[in-house]
Amino acid sequence: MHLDDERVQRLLDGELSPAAERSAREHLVACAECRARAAEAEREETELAGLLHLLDHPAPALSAEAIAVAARRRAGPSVRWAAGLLLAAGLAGAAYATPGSPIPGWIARLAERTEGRRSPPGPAPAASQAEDPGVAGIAVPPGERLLLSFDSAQAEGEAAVRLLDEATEVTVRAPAGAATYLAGADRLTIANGVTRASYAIDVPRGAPRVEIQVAGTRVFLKEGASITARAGTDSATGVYRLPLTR
Amino acid sequence: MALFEANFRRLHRYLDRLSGEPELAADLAQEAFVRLYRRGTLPDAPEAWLITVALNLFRNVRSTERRRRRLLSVARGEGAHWDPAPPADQEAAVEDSRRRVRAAIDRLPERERRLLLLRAEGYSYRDLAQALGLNEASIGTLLARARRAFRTAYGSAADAS
Repeated sequence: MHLDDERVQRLLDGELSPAAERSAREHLVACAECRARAAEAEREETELAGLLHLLDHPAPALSAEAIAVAARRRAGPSVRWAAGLLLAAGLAGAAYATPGSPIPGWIARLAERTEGRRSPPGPAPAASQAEDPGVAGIAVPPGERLLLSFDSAQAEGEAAVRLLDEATEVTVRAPAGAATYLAGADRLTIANGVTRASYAIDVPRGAPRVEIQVAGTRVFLKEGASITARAGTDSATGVYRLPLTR
Repeated sequence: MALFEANFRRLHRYLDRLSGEPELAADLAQEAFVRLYRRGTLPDAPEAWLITVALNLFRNVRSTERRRRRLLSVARGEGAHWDPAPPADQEAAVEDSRRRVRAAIDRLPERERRLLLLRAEGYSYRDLAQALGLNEASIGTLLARARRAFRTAYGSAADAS
């Protein structure tokens, strides 16, 4: 009796018991027809594996520690975390259903997309560096209101905020690996931890309301055309330089 | 977290191949692990659990409107499976093959597509059966059928191009 598909496939995949595998191999020695079928299946498997690699993209360099940090942040009792995070309620959860939510389709993201290195502290990256693999960030539509919340004060570093006429999204950029971004309804939380990195933030001039907080303290508020900032504007560049320190 | 080291990359790659959207795949793989972490205890079959959670998330995402956020940059991971860019004169041929593979995968029935892609990541028959709700005793037959279906679909895509 010939080997059926199940046994041929299990033989290829190492899913037969030792006794069943021995029996199958003995049969292959004696049966040219099954031998040919097994060889053909094996050839197809090899070809398939090669073809599937054509679809691959690099995996994010994420660590188990980053997962643990994100999970702990999400799991905490703090209401401010629980409020807007989409995934806390499941992807089809409450935030999706919130009428007028500016970011209904978001997924909370753990943007630890680094190259396994941390950039040294330095000046805020320029917009032109956006595609530099050393710079990571996130872009979000401002909606009716948006809160950018740095969850920690830093020892060093600043947020350089620009208002741009042509922009339609709020973008936040920092050295890759500096922060984890968690997106919720009306809120983007920047889990900056103990990093000393600086951030470049571009805000559409037409955004109705954008607020920036550092460790719960407001450092920047744009309401319509009115701007209130903890630091002044650099008159030469039109950039608000907001210290991320206490 | 040895489980993470052993499973994150292959779960990401599976989701990437399944969805054709690397950023979405990264989101889903990450979220599956966050949920595993938050669960507090390991499920009996953690690999199958991760697949099931990721597939449920994927289904939910696909059933809602397209996401509106985009990442500004995605740094390259250390994935050994990411081949360097081919020379320019091969690029068109590679791109053509990639399109055909994508078309063939997308043409497979959902069950065959998932089975084939999961098995390509080395998941055991037990994990496949558990994650996809199938009878473990017939996984080999289903895989053989799925592989043939892919071959046919890939051939059709070649004829069409």
